[in-house]
Amino acid sequence: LTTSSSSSHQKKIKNREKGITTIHKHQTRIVEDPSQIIEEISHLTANSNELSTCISTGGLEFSYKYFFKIKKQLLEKQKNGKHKGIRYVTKIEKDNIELAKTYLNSGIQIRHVKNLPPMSFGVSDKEMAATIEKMEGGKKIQSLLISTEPLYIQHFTSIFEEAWKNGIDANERIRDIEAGVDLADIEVISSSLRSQELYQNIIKLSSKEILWIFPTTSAFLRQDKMGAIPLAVQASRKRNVKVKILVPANKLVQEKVQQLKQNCISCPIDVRYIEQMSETMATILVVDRKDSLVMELKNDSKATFFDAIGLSTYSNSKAGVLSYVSIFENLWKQSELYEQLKTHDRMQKEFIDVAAHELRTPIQPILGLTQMIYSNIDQEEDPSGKKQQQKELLEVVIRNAHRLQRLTEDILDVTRIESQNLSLKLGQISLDEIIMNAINDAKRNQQTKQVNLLYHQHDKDNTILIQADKGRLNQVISNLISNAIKFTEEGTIIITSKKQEKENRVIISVKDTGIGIHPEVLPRLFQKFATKSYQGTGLGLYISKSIVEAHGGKMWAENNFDGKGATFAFSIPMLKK
Amino acid sequence: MILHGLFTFILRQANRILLVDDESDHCLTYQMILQDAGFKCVSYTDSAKALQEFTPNSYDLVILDIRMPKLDGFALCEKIRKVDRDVQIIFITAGETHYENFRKQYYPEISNDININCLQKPIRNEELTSIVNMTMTRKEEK
Repeated sequence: LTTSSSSSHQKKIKNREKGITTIHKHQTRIVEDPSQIIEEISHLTANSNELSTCISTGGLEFSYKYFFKIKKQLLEKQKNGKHKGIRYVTKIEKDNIELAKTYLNSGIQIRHVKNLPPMSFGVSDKEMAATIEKMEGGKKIQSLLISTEPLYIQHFTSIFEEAWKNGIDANERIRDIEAGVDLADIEVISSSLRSQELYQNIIKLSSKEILWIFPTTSAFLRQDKMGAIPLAVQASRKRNVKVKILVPANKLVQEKVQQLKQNCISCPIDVRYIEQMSETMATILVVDRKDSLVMELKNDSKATFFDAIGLSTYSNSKAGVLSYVSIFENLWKQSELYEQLKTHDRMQKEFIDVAAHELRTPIQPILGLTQMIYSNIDQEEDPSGKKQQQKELLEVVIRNAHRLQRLTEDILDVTRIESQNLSLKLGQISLDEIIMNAINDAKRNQQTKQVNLLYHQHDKDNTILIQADKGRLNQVISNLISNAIKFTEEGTIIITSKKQEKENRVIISVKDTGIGIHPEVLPRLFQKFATKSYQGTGLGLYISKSIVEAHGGKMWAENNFDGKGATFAFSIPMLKK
Repeated sequence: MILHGLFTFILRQANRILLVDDESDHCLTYQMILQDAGFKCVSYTDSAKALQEFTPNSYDLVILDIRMPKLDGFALCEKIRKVDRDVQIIFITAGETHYENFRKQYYPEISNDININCLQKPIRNEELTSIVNMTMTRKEEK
């Protein structure tokens, strides 16, 4: 029923029917005498076999004041099966709970609807009556449209049924109100045009604070273009509204933000940059901690808000809105931590760099020049044996310079490991080659002891390929071998490689016949400074284990079952063929 | 044997190396090692001065420290490359990954240049001479 058609209809009726009070068949009239209106409604009610009313909250009071008695009679009739019952659709709020209860207790059915139709009406099986008046506080109706036209009756019946279908049971509603459950609007908006309208309106109405999370840089730029961000800036400038924005950064966004801040230096606008979230694909807006609007991103590649936005959810439910506030605040704090962490990380890297530079620098001339003098002496004739003595002294210097160099590299490694800056240069490498190189190096450096080095390869037919950092893995194997040599006076050190196809890994073990692991050291073997040797820093195994773990492997050690020596082993993932 | 040694010595004399390192002790060390191996070396501790006095096509190899005041090794390398496209360049640094990243990020044209190598300090004498030898041979083969 549109306003224009009803008003033209009303005019017609007015001209034709003015002053006539008796009811004729299929007539439509306007009644403008308040007491007459009460009579008309009483008549409609009393005459009904079925009664449905859709009414404003004021109307419910009006209805109670003048027609409750008649309704009680109808309910009596209903008990005897002579009436089909009375149904109400209205809006139940804190103020009219008691009235609603009175209705319910008498046997009238009520359903609650948040958004009532603009017109209050009652419709029976024979007649309908409608008014646009709100009847605040039970005020009498001044003008009533009343009709017996079947088309009108049908139309209003169907409006009623639709409202009834969407209504909430009054008892449930009353329980919610009494339990203090927030009575809020939650609306799902599928039209992006409506979202846009609502979006702008909420920002325009802001008075204290706007919290904003953008999922992508394009979302930010799009919504700037659409006018949402300029509106917020305006709110900030005119009403001193605090604006807090979380957005992933790129050059365009940063430029825009810069520009925005320059345009209004004194505005309380704060922007923090976050990592682009792969999961979150919605813009979240919270205004004054009262309204939230979540706009889902449908297609980030689109240029306009209209095309990019999918479903939106508006809410002013306290619990819902405050959850978004806390999500925002958590991210806000997190972004601060993230910035601090980045700075911290950068500083740590810088420290490692400076420390490395400063520690390595003095070693170069010591080692380089002593070695040069040493090799020059080597070529000279030495009848008195004095040069031989000098050579021996130089060897001490060289050995200690090397030791200093190793210590430097170990300390740097520990720093890298502890600051999570140990980076691997991964490549496809042959394990045999690395083991053979490490063994050969060890043999070259260790000629004084009666120790045999053997490589026992379990799988002779094919070479084992692994994805690893060549230098780092060499460091691990060399460390295990040199440890084995250090604690073995004489005997054999066996290095074994063995594939474990099922686990897709290879186990490398170094077994010696030395003194074994001291029981005191065993529980903290792989921790820093755990050593019984007076010639080591106790960093080697800690570093080796960390390197192996960085490759996705494990490292362990045990004393041999036969009571002689120890076995150190580690696993490393194999390359899938 | 002696003749052969003399021959390589003469050949190496033809190979001139420019050394730039703000640590004068390092300059001295490398110069001693390389001269001992028979190469002819010119060294600078001031990178800006090294650039100022650089004459194209007069060196076979340039060895550069990275962290230097005024003009760092990368900047110097870039400027040298502009005037001398053939000279071999070796960086030698006591620094860390920071420089690796720096190199990759700001000087892609440098890191893609196969005539550029990067070594870490402290370097063993034999290693330095063998790498310099290899680099020279590569240059001669070209």
